[in-house]
Amino acid sequence: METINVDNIKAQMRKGILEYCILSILSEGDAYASVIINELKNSEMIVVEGTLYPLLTRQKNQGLLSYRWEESTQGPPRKYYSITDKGKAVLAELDSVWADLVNTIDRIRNKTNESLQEVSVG
Amino acid sequence: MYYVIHDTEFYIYVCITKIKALEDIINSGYDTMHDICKIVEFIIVKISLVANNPKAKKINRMKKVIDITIGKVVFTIEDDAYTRLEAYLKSFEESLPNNKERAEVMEDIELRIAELFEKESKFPRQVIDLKIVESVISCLGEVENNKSEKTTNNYSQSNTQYNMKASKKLYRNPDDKKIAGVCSGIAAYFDVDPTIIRLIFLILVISGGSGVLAYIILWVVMEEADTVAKKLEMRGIPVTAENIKNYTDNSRN
Repeated sequence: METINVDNIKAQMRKGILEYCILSILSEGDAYASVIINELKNSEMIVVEGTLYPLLTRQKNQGLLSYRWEESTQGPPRKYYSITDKGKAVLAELDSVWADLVNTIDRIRNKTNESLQEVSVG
Repeated sequence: MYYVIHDTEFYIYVCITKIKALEDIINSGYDTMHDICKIVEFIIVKISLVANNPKAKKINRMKKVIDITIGKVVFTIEDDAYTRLEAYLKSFEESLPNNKERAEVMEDIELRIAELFEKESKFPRQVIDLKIVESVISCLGEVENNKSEKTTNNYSQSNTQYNMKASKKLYRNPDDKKIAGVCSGIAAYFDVDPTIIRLIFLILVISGGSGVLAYIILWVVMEEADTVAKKLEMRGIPVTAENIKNYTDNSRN
């Protein structure tokens, strides 16, 4: 039972940061969906394409991304995504949100350790 | 699919011999219900050997194909691959929230599928088969099971979704009967084409009439699968509430 709970939480956490990851990747440069997936895989963030496409469309509709069609020799034209100014602004906000989160966890974990040490010493 | 013919011929020959023996026994007037049952059982075992013989090669006959356009490209796809793909696309679409984004995302998915089909084709005009479709689906990701996508599949085509380890029972199949569903029931038990079984019986009938006797015996001995539970047992599918629901849903379609 324990393992299953952790996996659920892990999945939730991953889902939460996926949008952040997409914006980050696109801030480095324009990309196709398949390239974004490879980048995520390289960074140990395994996600299936079926999860990615709905998310890309949603962010596009929110104005964070835009795309243009690129012709391809390997088949039909593909969407070439790029980050918008609005997307860049959101990315900056998410950067500070992330920093805050990391900070919070650090503090709670250290504080917990400290108070535990006090209890055991005292 | 057909099986290597010479194995089948051998077993048909053996069956014919046994049924002739059956006829003799009955004609000689002994109290032979036990013997009759033994012989019938023997015949059924032999038929199962044909079906399960690993040396009997299952050769794929030519299949029907369908032309589809997906992602603005046209592909030729085998009909079972098409069924699988269609079911996947349907369940994928249903897993998306019902808003205007649905259409956009489906368009993206279809473009991606077209792209993957092109990649998987090793030569021009290659037909898309079930293997290619399965690999594309695993690339895109199976649909999550909050709404079990298995219920949308026609259960008789993809047997993997049911636990086939439940033991099978021999019933007459009333849904697919020419006379009494005996051949159809035997075919369901061994998971073979009923035509093969009917062929066997026909040959037995032509060569001396013993097929008629065997058929009548089986007709009497085999119970008809008149409830959904029995029909599931006939095919070796465990009788659970979910399977019963799936069966009745699919029968209604």
